Amino acid sequence: MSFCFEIHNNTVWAAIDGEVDMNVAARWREVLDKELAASMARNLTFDFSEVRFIDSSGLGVVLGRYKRVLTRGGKVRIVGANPQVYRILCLSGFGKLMEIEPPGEPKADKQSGGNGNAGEFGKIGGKL
Amino acid sequence: MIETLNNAASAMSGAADNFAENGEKCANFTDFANGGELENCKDFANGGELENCKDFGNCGDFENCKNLGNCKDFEKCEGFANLGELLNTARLDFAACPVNVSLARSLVASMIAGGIAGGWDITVSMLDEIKVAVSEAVSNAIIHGYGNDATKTVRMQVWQYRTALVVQVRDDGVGIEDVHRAMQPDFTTGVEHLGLGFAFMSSFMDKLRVESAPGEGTTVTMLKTLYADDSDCGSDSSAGGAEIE
Repeated sequence: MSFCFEIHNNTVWAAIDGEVDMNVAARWREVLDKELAASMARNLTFDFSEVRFIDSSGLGVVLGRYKRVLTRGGKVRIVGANPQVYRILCLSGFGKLMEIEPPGEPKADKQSGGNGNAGEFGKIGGKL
Repeated sequence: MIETLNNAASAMSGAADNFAENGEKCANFTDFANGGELENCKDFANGGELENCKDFGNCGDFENCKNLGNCKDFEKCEGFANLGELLNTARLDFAACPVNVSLARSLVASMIAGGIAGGWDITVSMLDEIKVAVSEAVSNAIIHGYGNDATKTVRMQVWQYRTALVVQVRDDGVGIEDVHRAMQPDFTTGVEHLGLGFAFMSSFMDKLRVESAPGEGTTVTMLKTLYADDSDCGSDSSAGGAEIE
C-alpha cells in the first residue's frame, strides 16, 4: 500500500494503490487530511488507477474528503477506476456528488487538471 | 491467537492440497479434523458427496444450525434450501484486526475459484461484489461488534454448494438492538461510516440473514446463487442481487 500526492493547477492529485478497506482507511484519511491542510490547492482528484478493491471503509474516506473540499469551494474528481471499482462508486451514489471518470476513457492529464491525452498514468486498471 | 490463525491457514491449505489430488480419502484432512469436523468423511474428496460422512452430523454449526437461529437443519432454513450438493466447506477464525479483512476476502475468493472450476459461471463484477459483501460483514464485526478490540475473534465459515455460495460471519460482540433499523441504508454510526454495509450485503448477495441481540453477538449469513452450467435450473444472468442506485 502506498500513497502518492502531487499538486498541479490548484488541484491535489492523490493516488493510492491496492485494496482500500478498513485496514488502510484510517491511515489514508490521516495523510489525506494532512496534505489538504498543507496545500492551498482547492480541488482534489483521486487517482484510482492502481486500486484493485474498495469497500465502504474506503468510500467513507472519499466522502469525508469530499465534504471537506466542498467547504473550501473546491471540486472532487475520481479518475482511473477499473470497471469493478467504478461500479461500486456508482452504486454508492457518488456520481451525484462528484465527477467520476468512466473506465476506458482517456486518462485525465493531471498537468491541466482537465481532460487530456493519456499520459504516464494512461493504463486503465482492468485487472482483477 | 497466532496459533489459531496458523491452524486455520494450514487447515485451508491442507484441504486444498487434498482436493487437488485424485480423490484422496478424508483421512488426510488431519488439520481439518482438529476442528472436530469431517474426520470420518469417507468419500468427501471423491466427488463432494456428503451422504457417507458419518460424523458430519456432529458438527454443531451445521446440523443444529446454531448460528442460523432456530433452524434445525441448514437445508431447511428459509431461503437456504435446494442448494444442491455440498462440495466444500472451510472455517476460519481470526483476530478482529483490520488486516484480516483481506484474509477473509481471500478465503471466499479461493472457494469461488473452486466453484468456477466446478462449473459456476461468475463475472468479474460478481466476484468483486461478493468480496465487497464479505468485507462489509467482517468490517462490521470488527468495528461495531468488537469495537476494534483485536483480542477478540471473528468466526467465519464458507460453504460451496453445487448451486450456491454461503458465507457466514459471526462475532460475540455487543450485538445489535434493532436489527431491522440497523439494516436501513440511512442508518449510520459515525461521521464517516456510510451506512452502506448492509445495503451492499443485501444488494450483492441473494439472501441475507442477520441474527443479533444485545450482548449476544451478531451472525450474518449470506447466500449467492451461482448456478452450475449443467444445472437443471439453467443459468440465469439475473441471478445477481438487486441493484441499488
